[in-house]
Amino acid sequence: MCPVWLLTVRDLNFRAVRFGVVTLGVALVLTLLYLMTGLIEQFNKEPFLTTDQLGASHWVIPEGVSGPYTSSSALSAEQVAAIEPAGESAEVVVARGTLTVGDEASEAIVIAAPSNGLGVPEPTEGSKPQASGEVLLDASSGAAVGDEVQISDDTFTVVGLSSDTTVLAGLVGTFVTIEDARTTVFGGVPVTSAVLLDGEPLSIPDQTQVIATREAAEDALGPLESAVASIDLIRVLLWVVAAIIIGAVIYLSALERSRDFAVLKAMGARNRQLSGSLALQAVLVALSGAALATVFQLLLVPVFPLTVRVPVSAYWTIPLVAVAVALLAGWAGMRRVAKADPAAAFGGAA
Amino acid sequence: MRGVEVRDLAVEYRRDGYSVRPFEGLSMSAAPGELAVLLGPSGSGKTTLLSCLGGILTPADGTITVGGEEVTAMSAAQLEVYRRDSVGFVFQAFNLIPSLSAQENVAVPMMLAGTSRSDAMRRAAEVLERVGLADRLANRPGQLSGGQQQRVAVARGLAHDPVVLLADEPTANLDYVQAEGVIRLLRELRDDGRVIIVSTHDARLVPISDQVITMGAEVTSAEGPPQTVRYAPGELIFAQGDHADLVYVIEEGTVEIFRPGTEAGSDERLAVLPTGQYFGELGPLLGFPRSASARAQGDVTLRAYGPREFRQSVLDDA
Repeated sequence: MCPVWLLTVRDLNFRAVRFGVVTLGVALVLTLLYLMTGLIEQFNKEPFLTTDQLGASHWVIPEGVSGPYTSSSALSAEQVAAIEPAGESAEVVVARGTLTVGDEASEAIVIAAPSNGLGVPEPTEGSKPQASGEVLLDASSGAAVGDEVQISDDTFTVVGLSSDTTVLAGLVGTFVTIEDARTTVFGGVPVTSAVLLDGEPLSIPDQTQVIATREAAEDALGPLESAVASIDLIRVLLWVVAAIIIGAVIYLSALERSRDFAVLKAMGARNRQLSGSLALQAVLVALSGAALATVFQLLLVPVFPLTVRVPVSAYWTIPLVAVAVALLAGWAGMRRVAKADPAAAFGGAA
Repeated sequence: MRGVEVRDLAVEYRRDGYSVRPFEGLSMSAAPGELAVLLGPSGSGKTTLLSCLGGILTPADGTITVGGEEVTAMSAAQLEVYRRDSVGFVFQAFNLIPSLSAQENVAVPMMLAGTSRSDAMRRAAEVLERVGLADRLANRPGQLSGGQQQRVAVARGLAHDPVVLLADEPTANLDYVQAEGVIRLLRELRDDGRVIIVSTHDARLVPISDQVITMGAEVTSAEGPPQTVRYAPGELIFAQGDHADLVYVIEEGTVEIFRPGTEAGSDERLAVLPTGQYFGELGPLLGFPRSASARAQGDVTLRAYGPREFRQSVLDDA
């Protein structure tokens, strides 16, 4: 065991309570960083996961519209009829609606397509909606198969549940038959929001456009841009807080140990060894904080109100950045050690 | 020679605007197996001399040779090696590292110098046994008495078998029971054949020493009847740092008291004293050097007293 390690570990042990509290503080900050990172990851992945599950490769939508999720333009019956698909196709209705599960009403995204074709995700439990009055819901709605729920004013029976079928930061995907959607949302008018296609169409009528699935999904990212930017700013602030916590405790440690360092210097220890001891303390605090945070976030993610998807890369980037931040923050303390005067070892005060 | 040799050593400290020389022209030598005591009051330069001997402070002038090597000619990196290999330190405040056990306190400096952990720990146990602490290896400093802590510190100073052991006021923070233990230990260690230099104002160390080096100006107070002295305009009566033996009473004229600056013309005037005032009384009474300079403004006639005379004839009359 090298002496720098021995000095460091014994000192950590000696000031265990303080370093424990600081490690806990760092762990909480890093836990928040895990959650914020997971939140951004979820926001960025959510529309792609949902849109992919609808099974289409291309969407035909009215011209001048950015995508299916953010606008409510419709295709006319003539336009729908004029599309020449290369393979399978399905008319869909995409609209916002109010979903009431139990007593709780919330905004939901209603996606309706003919059964057994494009536009309906595979249920993880139960079955797809086959008949009027049946609904397939995203599991995050909290409903169970067999429950009765309200969409607008109409009552539906939950026949199946799907997962990863939300958009726009958690709007529940609500899948009903296209006839029900037209009745419930548009009062019986035969509206078509888009036509889903498997493969590029042979031709499309005027005033319509074809977009790929990826573009359709990207449409749902726009409204979240400022939310994502805000969370990113919070992430930066959290790193600053972590740096201040670690920096303060390392600086304090440098102050308290300045006589120790002076003595060791008087006895021929090199600056590098003594600064190394402080740097090691900073790294150990950062790593134990990161380890605790990894456990904390595992406990918190299931109870967090929004879906949080912590990317695998976060499990190494967050500890690594924490170590870098700790070393940077401990710099002031290490500078102090370099300046410690061995002559300070003399004198009477302990 | 293999011991310690100091020739014409001078140290200068610069404080804001003025400089202090705790000593100059200091020479001494100590052979291996010799215990030298630096005796003197606070501020007489004992710790300063130890810092120079230990390679921590670079003197303004003079040479120091330890174990045949000239310390005053070493580079910073060489001094680091010299401190690590040739010098052992014992400090007044013990300066043990509070988080380490007694054994680790002794072993860590050796480990930092490159000795393997097992060798350093074994050697630490040996030295701690030598200072009578074989049963305290695992105790932290907080669990030891002051005397025991100082013995751990002595063990730490000895562990790497240095040419010279420098102890700065090793008994100052101890009661007499514990001080006796440390003094006995130092006396025993002398027989190991190294140079031991102890700074102290504790005269109890004198009987066990092989030589006593008295630091600071000796308190030689002038005796005899007061004399009348005359100074021409601008003439210096005494300068800062001079040995102080006389107290002056102004019979005629005015005297300027000033602190000489480090550059010409940067003197700082402290006071201008008229006829009837006295000055320069604290130095001779306390045995301190002059803390400021005095200069005649115009023709000045002074009455110069020895401190005892001054106390009897001037202070008691007042």
